Amino acid sequence: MNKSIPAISVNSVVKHYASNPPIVALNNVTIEIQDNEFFTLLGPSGCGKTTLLRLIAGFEQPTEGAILLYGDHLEGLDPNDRPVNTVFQSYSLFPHMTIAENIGFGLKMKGQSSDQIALVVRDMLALVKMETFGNRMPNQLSGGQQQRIALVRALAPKPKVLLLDEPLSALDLKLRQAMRLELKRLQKETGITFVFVTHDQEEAMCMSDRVAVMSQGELQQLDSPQMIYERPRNRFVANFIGDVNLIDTKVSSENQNSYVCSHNNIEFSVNKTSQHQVGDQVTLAIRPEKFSLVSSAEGLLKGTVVDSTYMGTDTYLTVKIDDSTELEVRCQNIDLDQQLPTIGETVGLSVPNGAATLLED
Amino acid sequence: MASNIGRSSSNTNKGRIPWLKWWACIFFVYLYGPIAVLIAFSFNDNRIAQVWTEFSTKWYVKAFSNEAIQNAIINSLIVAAVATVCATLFATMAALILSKGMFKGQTLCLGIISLPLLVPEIATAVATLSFFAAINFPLGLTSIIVAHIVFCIPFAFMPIRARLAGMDETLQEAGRDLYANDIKVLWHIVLPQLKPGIFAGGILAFIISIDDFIISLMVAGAGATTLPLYIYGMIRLGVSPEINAVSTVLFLVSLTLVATYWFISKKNEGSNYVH
Ligand SMILES: Nc1ncnc2c1ncn2[C@@H]1O[C@H](COP(=O)(O)OP(=O)(O)OP(=O)(O)O)[C@@H](O)[C@H]1O
Ligand SMILES: [Mg+2]
Repeated sequence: MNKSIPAISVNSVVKHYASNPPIVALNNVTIEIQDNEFFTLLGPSGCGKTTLLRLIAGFEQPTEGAILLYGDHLEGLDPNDRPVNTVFQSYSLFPHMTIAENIGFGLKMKGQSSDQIALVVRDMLALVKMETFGNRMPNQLSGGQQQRIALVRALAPKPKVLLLDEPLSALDLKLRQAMRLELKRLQKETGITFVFVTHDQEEAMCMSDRVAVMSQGELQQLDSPQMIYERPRNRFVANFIGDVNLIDTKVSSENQNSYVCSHNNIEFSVNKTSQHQVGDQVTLAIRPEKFSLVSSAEGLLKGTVVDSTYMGTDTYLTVKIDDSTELEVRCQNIDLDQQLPTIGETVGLSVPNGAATLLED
Repeated sequence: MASNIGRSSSNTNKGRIPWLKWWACIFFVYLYGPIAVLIAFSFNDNRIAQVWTEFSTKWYVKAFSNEAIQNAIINSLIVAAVATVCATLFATMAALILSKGMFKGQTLCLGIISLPLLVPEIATAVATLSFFAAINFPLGLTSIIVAHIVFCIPFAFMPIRARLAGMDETLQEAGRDLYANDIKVLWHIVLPQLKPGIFAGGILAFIISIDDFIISLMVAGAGATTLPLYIYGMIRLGVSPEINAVSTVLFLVSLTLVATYWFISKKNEGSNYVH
C-alpha cells in the first residue's frame, strides 16, 4: 500500500434510491480519507452516513461518481471481494457460532488454515482482553462484550479499511465512554484506517483525526475536530456542533486578510475565511465561552443580564446587547466566592481577537 | 358486567365466566374420550373388544407378529420417509428462492404453494388419480410416494418460511462482508440458522404422510397397503382388539412427533436473537 495515496477517495458520488420521486441520499459528495486516519462521518439522522458506508462496503452501488480504495476502482466488486470490513450497529454476530468461530469466520472464508486462524483468534481476543471467551456463544455475552467481539471479528482479516456504523449507540453512557478510548487505542495499535459513523458530536470530537460534517446528503465541512468547532464554515455546522451565538453584521471595510464587520457600531475583526464585498450582510459565530465579563465601562460589548442559570461547572448568562440580539455567555465556576452579575445588572463583555468566525451563509 | 371489570382487575381470571372451565372439560372428554377408550381396550384380554375382563398385552404381540400388519407398517415408513425427505428438500429450496424477493409473481407463487392446504383432500385425491391414469403411471408404492411428496410440500414449507422470515438479514450482509460468496453464505449462515425450521417442516411432513388415508386409498395399487389403509380394511370385518393395539401405537407415534415439533418451534422463538 502506498501511504501517500488516499485510503478512500469518494469522487462526486450521487446516490438515489428508487422511489417516486427518487430519494436523494447523497448529492455530489467528494471526500478523501487518508491512510491510517481515524475519520468520522458526523451528521443528523437521515443525512446519508449509512448510505456512504454501504457504498464503500459494496452493499449499494453509486448512481453517479466513483469510489477508489488506495487508487483502485471498486466498481463492480462484490462486498466479499473488497478488502474492507464493517462493524454493524446491531453487532450481527453469528448466533450459531462460538465467539472464536465468529472471529475466525473472515479468515476461514479467505481460505486460511485452521492453525493460522487459531493464532489470529487468540491475538484478537487478547486485543480486547477477552482471552477466556472463545468457547462461549454470542448470547452468553453482555452488550459491551458483543460489541468488542464484533470489532475484532471485523479486524481479524486485516482489512485495509474498517467501517463502523454507529457501533456505540446501543451501549450505556459509561460503557460508551470507555469504548471510545478503546476504539482510539485499537486504531493506533492496528494502524488500520477507521471510518466511523456517528450522530453524536462529542464522540466525533474526542476520537477523530478529521471529521466530515454532513447534512441532507451533502458534505458541509471536512476538517480537524478543533477547526470544526473553532472555525465552522456555515450556519449548519456552527449550530450542529456545540452552542453558538450568531450575530448579524455588515462588512464595513476590508484589509489584506481580514474584514471589519460591524453590528450597531460595534466592530469585529475577522479572518477572511470566505469572500464577501464591503456592504454585504454577513453572519458571525462566537462560542459562548469566548466572552469574558468585564466592568460595563470597558469591553467591546455592553448589555443587560436577562437570565442566569447555574449548571455546575459553568453558569450560563443571557446578555441582551440590543433589542434584537441576546447573547449566551458561559462563565466557568472556578471560585465559590466569585461574584457573578445578577439579573438586571449591566455588564461589559470582551471578545478576544479571532474569537469570531465569519460564516459563508 | 362492564363496571365490574375495573374494580376486580386483580382477579380477572377468576370467575369472569365461571362455567368456562366446565365447557373445557366437556370439550376435552369429547375430544379424547374415544381415544382413551381405544387405548384402554387395546389392553383388554377379552376377544370381544367391548367387554372388559382383565389387563393383557397379548393383542400387541399378536398384531406385531401379523405379517400383513408388518408389511403395512414397513410400507408406511418407506412412503413417509421418502416423502418427508423429498418434500422438505423442495420446500427448503422454494422458501429460499421466494425469500430473495427477486422476481415478479412472488405472491402468486406463495399462493400456489400454500393452496393445497385449503383444497379438499378428496379433490386432490381424485385429481392425482386422474393424472396418474392419464399418463399411464402404474399404481403402487411409487405412485403413493409421488402423491405424498406433492401434498407434504406445503406442510414442510410453512415452518421453514416462518423461520426464514424471522431471520436477521444483516447476518447475511455480515457474512458477505467477511469474504463469503453467495454459496458460502447459504451454507455457513443461512442453512444453520434455518435448521430448526427444516426439522419442524420435516416432522410435520412425516406426520401428515404417515396418517394419510384418502389420497393413499385412491392411488394405492394392489399390494401397496399402508397402515391406515390396512386398519380400514380390518375394521370392515368388525372392531378387533388387534386394531385397537395398532391404532394406539400409531397414535403414540404421532403424539411423540407432534410434541417434538412443538418443542422445536418453541425453542426457535428463543434462539433467534442475540440480545
Ligand atoms: N434502502 C433504502 N431505500 C430507500 N431510501 C433509503 C434507503 N436507505 C436509506 N434511504 C433514505 O436515504 C436517506 C439517508 O439514509 P441513511 O440511512 O444513509 O441515513 P443515516 O445518516 O445513516 O441516518 P441515521 O443516523 O438515522 O442512521 C434517508 O432519507 C433514508 O430515508
Ligand atoms: Mg445510519
